[in-house]
Amino acid sequence: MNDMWQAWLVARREIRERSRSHAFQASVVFLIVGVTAMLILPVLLKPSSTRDVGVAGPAPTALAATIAQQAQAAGITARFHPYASLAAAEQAVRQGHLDVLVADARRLEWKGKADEQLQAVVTGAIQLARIRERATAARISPGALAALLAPAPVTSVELGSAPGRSPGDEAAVLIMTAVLFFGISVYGQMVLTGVLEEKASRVVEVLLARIPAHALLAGKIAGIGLLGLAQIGVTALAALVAAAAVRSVDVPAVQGSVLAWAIVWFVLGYALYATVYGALGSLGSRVEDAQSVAGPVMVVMVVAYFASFATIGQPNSVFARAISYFPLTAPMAMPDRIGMGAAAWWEPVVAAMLTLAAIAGLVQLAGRVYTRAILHSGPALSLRDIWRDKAASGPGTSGATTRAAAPPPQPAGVTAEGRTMMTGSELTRHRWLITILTGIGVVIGVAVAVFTADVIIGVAAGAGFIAIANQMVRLWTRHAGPPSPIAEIRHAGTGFQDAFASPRWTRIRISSVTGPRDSRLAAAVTGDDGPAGDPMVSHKTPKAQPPMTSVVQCTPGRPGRCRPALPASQRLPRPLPLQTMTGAGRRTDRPGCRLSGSRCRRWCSTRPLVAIPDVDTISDG
Amino acid sequence: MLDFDGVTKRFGPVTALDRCTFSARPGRLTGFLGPNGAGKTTAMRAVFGLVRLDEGAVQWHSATVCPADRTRFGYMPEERGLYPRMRVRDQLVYLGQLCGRKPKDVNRSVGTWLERLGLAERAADRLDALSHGNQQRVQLIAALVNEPDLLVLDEPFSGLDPIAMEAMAELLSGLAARGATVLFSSHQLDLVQDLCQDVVIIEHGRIVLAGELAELRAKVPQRFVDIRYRGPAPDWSRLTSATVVEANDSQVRLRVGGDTDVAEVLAAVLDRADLVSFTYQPPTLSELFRQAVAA
Repeated sequence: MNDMWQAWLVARREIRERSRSHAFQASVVFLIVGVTAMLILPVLLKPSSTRDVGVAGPAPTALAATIAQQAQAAGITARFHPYASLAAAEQAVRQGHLDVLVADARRLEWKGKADEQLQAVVTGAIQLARIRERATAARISPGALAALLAPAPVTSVELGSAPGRSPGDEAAVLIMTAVLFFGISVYGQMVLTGVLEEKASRVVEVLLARIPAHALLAGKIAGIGLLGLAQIGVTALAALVAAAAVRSVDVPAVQGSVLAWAIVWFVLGYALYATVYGALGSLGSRVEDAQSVAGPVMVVMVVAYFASFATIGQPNSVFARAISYFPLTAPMAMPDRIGMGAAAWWEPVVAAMLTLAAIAGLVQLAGRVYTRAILHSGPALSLRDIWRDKAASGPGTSGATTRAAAPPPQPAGVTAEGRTMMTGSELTRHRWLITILTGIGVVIGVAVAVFTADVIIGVAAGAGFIAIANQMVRLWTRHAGPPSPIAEIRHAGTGFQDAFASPRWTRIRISSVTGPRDSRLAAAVTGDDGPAGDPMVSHKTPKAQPPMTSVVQCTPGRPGRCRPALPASQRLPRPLPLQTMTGAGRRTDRPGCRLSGSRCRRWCSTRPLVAIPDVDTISDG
Repeated sequence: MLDFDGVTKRFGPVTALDRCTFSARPGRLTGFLGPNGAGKTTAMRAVFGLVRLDEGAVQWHSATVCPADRTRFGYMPEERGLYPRMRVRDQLVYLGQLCGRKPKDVNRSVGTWLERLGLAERAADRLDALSHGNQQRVQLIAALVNEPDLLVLDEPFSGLDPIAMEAMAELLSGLAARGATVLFSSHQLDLVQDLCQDVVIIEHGRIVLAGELAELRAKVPQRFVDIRYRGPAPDWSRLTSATVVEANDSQVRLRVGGDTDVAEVLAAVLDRADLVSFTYQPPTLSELFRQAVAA
């Protein structure tokens, strides 16, 4: 039994279960119908090329033949309707039976605005017919006339922005970029939500007891990737069949090699971003966390997408070259340059190597993040938590951090939940960081603008850098999303369930109860019929937005630490190790808060939630 | 034989497992007890490599547990969870195959277990269409689907009704009788006392008591006398060598030394009260637990 086989089993499950879901089947049908309609409808709706031309009054003998000839040259089929009287012919024009009426071979009558192409054709034909008449009158031989009238050939060529590529090719490359972008982001996000769903449904612990985390992640990414390739393939096939069937759409001259590279880059880009998405997915706890944990990657992808547009306009510029090698942008920029014929044969190979190296690095990093975060439950983690290996210390299910008897001094800014909260000084540092990064962004923007002599690219580069930097700082330091509606009650007395089983809470967890009252509490918890039983009781009650509750580790009376906000009569006979407080948000210093000390101030509010010692003293405000 | 050999795990400043050493033997049920947050779940996760140990090792048949061993283990985590939208049979077969078993064998054992737990006709339903109790059963099958040699169950009895509890107890005993090593955590001490041959008690990450339950109970130098009587309460304090633990209307619990002569106590009690019932026994598991944890 090796990892590869297990990863394949995971991939197979992804493919089977997802292809069975109605949502996926609907998306396949929708894409095929949509693409086919986009190709076929324009042909069906294209105005017919047959024109009705009426002739009234005296006209040169060869006029009809000349008009037909000229019209054919312009790709129009002309039908003739001779009229005996001008009035009848004009009536026909007014009723829309005729597109144009040639009156006395000298006046064109239209119902409304003249059709310029038809006007040119008919006018030219009349001129020609007149010239032939005059030539016959002047006794010029038909041969001499033909020599006189022989057209001097003039052709027109669309140069496009790159040698050897037409605007049609550019459009094809644009479409290819869009398909790459949407493919990578759609399937990447499937990985994200898939990881989150596994975590939220807790199945991940069952899986990880059987297979290594990297096999699980790899299998998931591979399965969704194969499914994505298949879906894109089926859609492309439908598009080809539709295009071939109507035959009128110009399929731009896309060479096989460009197409092959596009597939390679889809796979590389998907692997790169899906790995990141998978790792970030493990940071959240609920499917709703998806947006907040993956926002930064989305921003990066959008920036990469728009940056790759620049390569279509100027595929040989320094900027285009640079981003076609940079792994995060290469999956969209390099196929653009290949499509525009601007890349030497070795360039995509080198860029692919670089991207592969980046993927290898990211897989290591993602594996580390994933392994540490995947078993953590509670509020979404930040990357910094992972870096400091706090994830595993989140009580999750074990409650192992909350040793009550003698709380060891915790590093500043770390709550018992294993989530990192910023203290005042860190907040300041964080603002400084943002300010500095914004400054760098401005400098980069100006530099790019000067270098490329294009203000718009400069502004885009600067703004892109600032946006990415901000997102990165957010990801690194804290969670963008709202706090999870979880109330942690630690070291509660008996009877707490009643006090907290109010519909205000979506979930109440009790963990780590120690001390002399424990057996009573254990009995109380065990007697509860909550789904998880002891040591954690989950009360799932109707959803409402509860105030955020955090756990603060307190040692009474120590300088710089907080003291419990309880009257002395309600205090425990021994030092109160943990105190649960509500707090509406990040900084909730309020008058009336009796906690003191810089570490705890952020968390306190005027409403102490739990008066720890006994059921009598429990109040929720 | 599952051995914890000096297993230590620290989460930042907190030591979740502190040099834990104990064994769970094949063919026996081992109860894993401890207050909340004592480290039970962490220890169980350590068996499956779900936490990286700082020191020590978990051993299976005297060798550090390797991934190949784990395919012969079954695990029911405390936080129950399976794929809610996957069909019951597909899900169990998938989990069985992840253990490296042949599809044919997996199908057979899934069929057998579904039949045995009365879920055969729900096999094609999605998991979230099942009732809570039935989902619990599926979760149990997920742990059993590879016919494990070692079964680790985190709180298998929580959330079960009395009948389901009995069925679970019977099932676990059956598995142990067939030679499996079964380690489970629970807070239902009376149930553990009836069911388990061995217990391990953990507190603050340290193993405070481990061994054969009967031996541990016998080793305590105290015995308890429970007396029910009719009529007025006599003055128990006059009874030599006994201390009153608890006294109610018509019953009393006395603590005596382990070397006390039972007949002597009985005679003394008969002197004083109109006796209804009399029991003399070593401390229950609950008492052992309380003592061990309070120490």
